[in-house]
Amino acid sequence: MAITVHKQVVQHLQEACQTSKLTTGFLIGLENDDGGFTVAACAKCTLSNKEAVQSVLQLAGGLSICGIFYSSDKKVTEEGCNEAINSRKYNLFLEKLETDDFVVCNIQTGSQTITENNFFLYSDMISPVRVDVIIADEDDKFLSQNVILRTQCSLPLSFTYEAGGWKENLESEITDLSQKIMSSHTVYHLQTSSVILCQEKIIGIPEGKANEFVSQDLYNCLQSEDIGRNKKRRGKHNFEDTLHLGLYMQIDGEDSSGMPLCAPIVQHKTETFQVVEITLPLDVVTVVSPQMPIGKLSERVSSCIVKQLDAMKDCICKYHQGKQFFIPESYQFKPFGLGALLNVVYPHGITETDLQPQRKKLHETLCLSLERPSFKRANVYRFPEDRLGESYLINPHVGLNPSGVKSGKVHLVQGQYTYHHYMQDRFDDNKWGCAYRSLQTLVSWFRLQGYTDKPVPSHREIQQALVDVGDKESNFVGSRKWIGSMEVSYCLDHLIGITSRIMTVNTGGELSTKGRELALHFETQGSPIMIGGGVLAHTILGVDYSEVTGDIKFLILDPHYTGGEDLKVIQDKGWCGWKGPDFWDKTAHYNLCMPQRPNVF
Amino acid sequence: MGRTILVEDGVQGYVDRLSNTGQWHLGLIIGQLTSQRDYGVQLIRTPEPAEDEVSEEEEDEILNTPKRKRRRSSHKPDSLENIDEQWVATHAKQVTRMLPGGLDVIGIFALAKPQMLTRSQAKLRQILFSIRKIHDKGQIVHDEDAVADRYLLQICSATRKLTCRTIDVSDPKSTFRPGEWKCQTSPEPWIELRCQITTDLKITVPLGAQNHSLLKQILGGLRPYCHTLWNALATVNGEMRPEADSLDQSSGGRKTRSGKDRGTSQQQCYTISLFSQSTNNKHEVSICDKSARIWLRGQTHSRAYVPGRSSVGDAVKALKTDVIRSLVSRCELLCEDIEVVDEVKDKNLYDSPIRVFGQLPGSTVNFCDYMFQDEKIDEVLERIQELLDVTITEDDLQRDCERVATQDDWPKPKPKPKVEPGADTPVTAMTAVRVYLGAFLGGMAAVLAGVSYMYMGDS
Repeated sequence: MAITVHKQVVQHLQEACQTSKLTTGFLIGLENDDGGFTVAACAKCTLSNKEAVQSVLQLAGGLSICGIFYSSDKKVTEEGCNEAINSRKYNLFLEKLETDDFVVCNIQTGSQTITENNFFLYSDMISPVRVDVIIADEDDKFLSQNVILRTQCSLPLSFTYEAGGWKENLESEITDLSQKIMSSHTVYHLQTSSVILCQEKIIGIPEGKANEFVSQDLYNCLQSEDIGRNKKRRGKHNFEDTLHLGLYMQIDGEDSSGMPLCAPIVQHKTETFQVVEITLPLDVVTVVSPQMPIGKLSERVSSCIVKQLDAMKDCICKYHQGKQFFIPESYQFKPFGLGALLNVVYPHGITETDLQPQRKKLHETLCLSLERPSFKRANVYRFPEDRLGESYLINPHVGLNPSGVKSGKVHLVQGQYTYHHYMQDRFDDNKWGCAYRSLQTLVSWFRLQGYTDKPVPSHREIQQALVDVGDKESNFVGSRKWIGSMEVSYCLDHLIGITSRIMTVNTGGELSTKGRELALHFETQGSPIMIGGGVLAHTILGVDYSEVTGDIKFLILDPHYTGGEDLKVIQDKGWCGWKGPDFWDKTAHYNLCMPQRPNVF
Repeated sequence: MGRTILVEDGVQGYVDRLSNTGQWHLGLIIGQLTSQRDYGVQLIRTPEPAEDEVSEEEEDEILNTPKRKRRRSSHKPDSLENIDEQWVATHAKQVTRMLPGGLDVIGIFALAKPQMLTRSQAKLRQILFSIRKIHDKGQIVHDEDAVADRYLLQICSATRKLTCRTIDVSDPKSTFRPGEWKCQTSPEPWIELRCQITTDLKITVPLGAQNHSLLKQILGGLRPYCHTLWNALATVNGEMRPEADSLDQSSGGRKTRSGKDRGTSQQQCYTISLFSQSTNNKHEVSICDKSARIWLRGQTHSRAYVPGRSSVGDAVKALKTDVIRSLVSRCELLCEDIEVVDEVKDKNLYDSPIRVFGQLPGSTVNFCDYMFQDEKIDEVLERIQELLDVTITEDDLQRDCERVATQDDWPKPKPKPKVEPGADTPVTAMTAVRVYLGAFLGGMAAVLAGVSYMYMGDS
């Protein structure tokens, strides 16, 4: 049993509490199977602000609010922490906690470092439990080590519109709906299985086993064609597949809260009024530990749904314009560096520009810098099943074996991009379009990171852009002429307003001396690099570089691939893979287009 | 290949009795159509039309309002070919309301002298299509897999020879095909399915629809609800089973039966649970003008019957059919009743009738009927006699499946935190209750938090 705190969270806490002002907030994470906790995010929140408290609760989404943090001018001691917890000062926070036990992080104002000694685990209000505290890297394993349940459904909502009172009506309908969701009538059907999770029982698992079953056993209940694959995965404790739950309401049965049990009564009332009808597109994620008893799942999922309903209600209230209402839409985000999956609701049809104030608040609450978009719609966390519909592969380098550079450090592209290569989009650009494809991959990265809303340009659009900036004659459009790194940089600038740094090497051999520079690019910019030399263009996605030996390998994405979107072929045949310095032509001159990300959010 | 219908033992006796009257008879065949074979359970004589001076519409109304006493008349047409097909179709509609899920009017029979039968062929065909028409009109959920064939059984009163034919009533051009009428001495046992449904339906009536009949207003909201019901997920005895599975697994060694002793035969009874999911996937938001609110809530008891060999899917479908049929029938009856007996114009709270069950003689399946609070048992028995041609006594009637609404069941207003000026107040609501119940209602506690506008009073 231990408290695991992700390094990034510690850093955020440190930044949050650097001021002399007293700071308070919540710790967001998950209760582990052994009763310990993983803290995956922190959210600043002032004590008296009930609205802010509620929005943190909504934000925690599929995770739990599992603790609080506060800064004080006293030195951090166990006694001091006890006293603070018992002082009722933080009661407003403590009653919002979603776990029985909880973590408290106490920080002295202005202190420079936060260590293991700042964290305490409480299972009652009297004194902390002695546990290990581990500050660990979040290596993208947090989510995959837990079970993710996803409930997508549309719930009809209607409320009476009256100029002054519609908010109350909406609130009352949401309360109604929430009560229904929390009632024993709401059940969850595990899709492609015969398992139904009810509050009091589980349908579809062998009798007497209900008490032994835990959340990860649900993978074995799926009636999928490749059961073998799931079993293997289970052994590895890596639950990449999301478990899909269908929300159902039981419409039979004796117990019904407040419902008359007599033959139907019909009530009719004539009046003229207006009703707002919205179908709420719920997309609720619930993250649970693999050993969570199956009997607890339905309640946990229900409470996550209720949180989202609450968020949707707030969204409707916040963004309505007179009589015009916007459909609230749920987005899951996994901000850069954090392991946590966070839930935000945005109104459909409102532009990113108009959502900026809400995003700013989110960044501030979560102690995230304003230099990188984290909560634009494009930043949405893409579940494996969401990627199925996409026509391009996302991040095909994921899953490659290590490059083999001894004592090397891997510096990779940050975030997501799509793989663009020859022959895609039913367009034959074989032998001439490689730089265009590399440029498309670069633009895709800026799109998926939320820096731009512009679509990935076609060859023709790229050519037109070059004509527009005066680089090419108008007959260039529709031609099959090559472009190079400079042209790529012009297009990035013209099409999506991104500037690039151009690095020039006179020979391919010289590239192996650029390890430090490239590593720095991936650490600070994190964007993919287009490299052109001789007749070939490639995309560099990362380097594995050893400061000690100077050894280096390059992670290359090759646009010359002409096959279908088959990840196995692409990885096995090296269309995406680690290449040594001999990959480059010793005699050719190379230009690297290194896009610089703007400081926006 | 023609259809085959397996007919229960008792049916032959009924035919014999009718033959002995020496008169011609026309009636309905009750049973179940399946893709494999069909099952005949009962023949029911269509009652004789009421007095001549009553116009057609009024006849309709009389049949539609079974509460009203009707005098037996002797105004039977002198020949089969002169019978009004609408009269028979209305009877079929009445009877269908009184059938649990799984059972339907699957055809008609005619018993007459050969010459009369020959003369009536066109009429008989017309009757079958009329029944179909009136049935489709009331249909809320369309079952795509439903069998469209209907039976015509002709009995020659001279020779007592049975001629069985079927016709596809979904195709106006179709012709009769031969069918096989097979009497069974030990018929396949029927399996009973049960379910207790809780309905809590809030309907808002669009502006412009306020002058429609109450029934039409209710159906506007009931229709989508029934579609959801039709698509609901089901469990059988608490288990989710593949649709193609045979319902009765007892021969496979597993004992799932919870048999009920019904005289000689052991009847299997399964409990079905239904889980509904909102199926509205259109992502849009709208502001609509409304003219009324309707709130329908309460519990209904559903029953359905399927033959022993049925699949899980068939069973669930039969039960869903019953749930929907029972809800709609009740609303129809209630609205008809309101139109006939409603004297208090400003009344806005209504009890729907409760469902009662009885056993079809010679069979293990039940029929049902709906009984209003102010109705006497004798009236129900008389109606059953008239419409189902079944004579039973008060003791044969199961009346405890559903509970009559009492004043405790009336919705109670939840005190609204802020009462807007001009809006309903709990005080007017109370008055309304008093008007309706004619009794003082004390101790009204607020229930159902979140319901703020469902007051009973007029504004």
